[in-house]
Amino acid sequence: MITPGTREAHIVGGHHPDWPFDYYERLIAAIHAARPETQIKAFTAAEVDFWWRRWRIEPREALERLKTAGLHSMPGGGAEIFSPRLQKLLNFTGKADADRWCQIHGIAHGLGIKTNATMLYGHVETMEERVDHLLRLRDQQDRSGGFLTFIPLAYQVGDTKLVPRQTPPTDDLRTIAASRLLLDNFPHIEAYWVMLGEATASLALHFGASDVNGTLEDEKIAHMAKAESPAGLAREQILRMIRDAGKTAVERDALYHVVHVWS
Amino acid sequence: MLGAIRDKVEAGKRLDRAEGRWLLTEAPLLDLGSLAQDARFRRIPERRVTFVVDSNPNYTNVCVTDCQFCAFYRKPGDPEAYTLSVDDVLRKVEAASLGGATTVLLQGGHNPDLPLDYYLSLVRETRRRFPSVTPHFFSASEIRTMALTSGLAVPDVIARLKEAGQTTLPGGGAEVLSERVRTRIAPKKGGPGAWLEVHREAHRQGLKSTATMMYGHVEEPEDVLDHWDAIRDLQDEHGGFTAFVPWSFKPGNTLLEKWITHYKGPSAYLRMLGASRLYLDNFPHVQASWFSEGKRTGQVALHWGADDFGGTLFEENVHAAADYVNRTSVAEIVTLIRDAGFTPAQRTTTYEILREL
Repeated sequence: MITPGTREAHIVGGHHPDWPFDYYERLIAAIHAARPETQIKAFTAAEVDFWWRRWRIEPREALERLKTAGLHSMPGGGAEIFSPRLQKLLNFTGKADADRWCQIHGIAHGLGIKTNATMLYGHVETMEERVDHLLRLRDQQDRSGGFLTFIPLAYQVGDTKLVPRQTPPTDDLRTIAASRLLLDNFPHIEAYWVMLGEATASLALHFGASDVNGTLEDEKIAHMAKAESPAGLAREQILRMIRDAGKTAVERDALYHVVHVWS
Repeated sequence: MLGAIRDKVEAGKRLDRAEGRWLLTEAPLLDLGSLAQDARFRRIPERRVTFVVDSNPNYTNVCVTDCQFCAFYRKPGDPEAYTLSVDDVLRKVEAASLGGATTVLLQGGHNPDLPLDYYLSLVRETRRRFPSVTPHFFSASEIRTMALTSGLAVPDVIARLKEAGQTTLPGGGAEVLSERVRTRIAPKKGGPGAWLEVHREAHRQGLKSTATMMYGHVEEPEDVLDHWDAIRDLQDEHGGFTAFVPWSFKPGNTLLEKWITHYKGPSAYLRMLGASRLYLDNFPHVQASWFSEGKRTGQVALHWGADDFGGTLFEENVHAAADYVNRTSVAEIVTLIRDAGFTPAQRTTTYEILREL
């Protein structure tokens, strides 16, 4: 549900075997027609890759058609962690690998579609694999330059039981700080409060993060993995998280244009 | 200012009020944390973080002091008012003892109907029946209540409690030790002197105690500085404080709630801890509260000068009355401390190490 005045709609889904590509195209066009003021951020590289595997639609064609329909930007999901070892171990070999993920983001950047990048950490990856991931993103950014932000995603334990518990806040803060230092060509580093919790996200603003994501009115993925943060935060709480850290809250749109400075 | 403070910390010199004010209001938070860790490791070189297995029952919620920040108390005669018998309290001590607790932090409202013998029996019977438990009973204002109702002077009440077996006092009820703040939020509790006098006398008689501070309501930096100066001076006299324990005000269900526009969050907490470690140079320990600030903030706090993780709090009713509930177990505390990068160690009420884990 997208309420009037929403600045950004972030839409991702599973890999549905029966929905033809033009379903997605019509979805974007319909949202764009109904809410022309809302910037549409939709579909991960994994979904774009799936359309190729399922329907033989080239990523370039898919993204061109979606852009025409009203797509503004793409989220950074589906990157997981760029490691062939873990892709095999965690059985996500059916998903776009690191090369493919970077390639699709490069294509999007070439078409003028800005994208985000993520890293799923705090499970069974090594520190070496985290650094490799960050360096690959940095290389891709040097080549295509269209990443807006990097969002480290702390793995939520939930029912998956890959690890006994969530990585500690000290690891979150270190990861955010290291990302800011390594990714010198990324404009923003994000403290995603849904995964980190409000307190750690607020503290992360002292460790190099410059964004806390949004109010997230209909978040489902992390909460199905039992994230402890509330499902959707009122603007007041977001402002408190930022102000408590002694920073000025600036509301932005999906492309990081300043919408309002909250004094 | 940062350089001057760093030099003083390295030379083991005392910070003055202007430096304390700067730490509270302007110091960059990460620099403050790193200095506080230096001071912490200077005092406790081991990468060890202690905790205590304890429980916090309450013998009565009847109270005539009407503090504006309190959601726990009931006036005498209120249908929800309760007072436990000595046997009821001892059953709670027994349950805590069976759960492995070495400390029972027992506190209650200021109930004018309880005779001094009630309190003395609690201490004496706890010592007699549960020798593994330290009775960490009765905050300063409860001891003043005993003095008022028994007609004895505070030193005599403390002497009687000591005779019954009490060796430590909890540090609750300090709130913020400034005339202005205590007049505003706890007018019937007396000024800072009321709290300080009891702790001074307890230290003089050889008892140990902790000092707490509840911040995040109407206090200004000057009030916090008053609080620090008062307890640092008192510590110079007898060295009776084991630890400083700050926590943030929880406004739920209190009269003060409507006056507080925003409560203090994790950045303010880290600042308070780090600055306290640096300013209170004669306090052996600074405690991080997983309980009042949240487990994750508690873990981060171990990097801002704290060397203790508080207690397991098998029973807790005061914050719960403000709709604030947080629970843990020994196993979880051990894991939280390890995950934060430290070696957990179980301690006694007076911070002696019982075992490293």
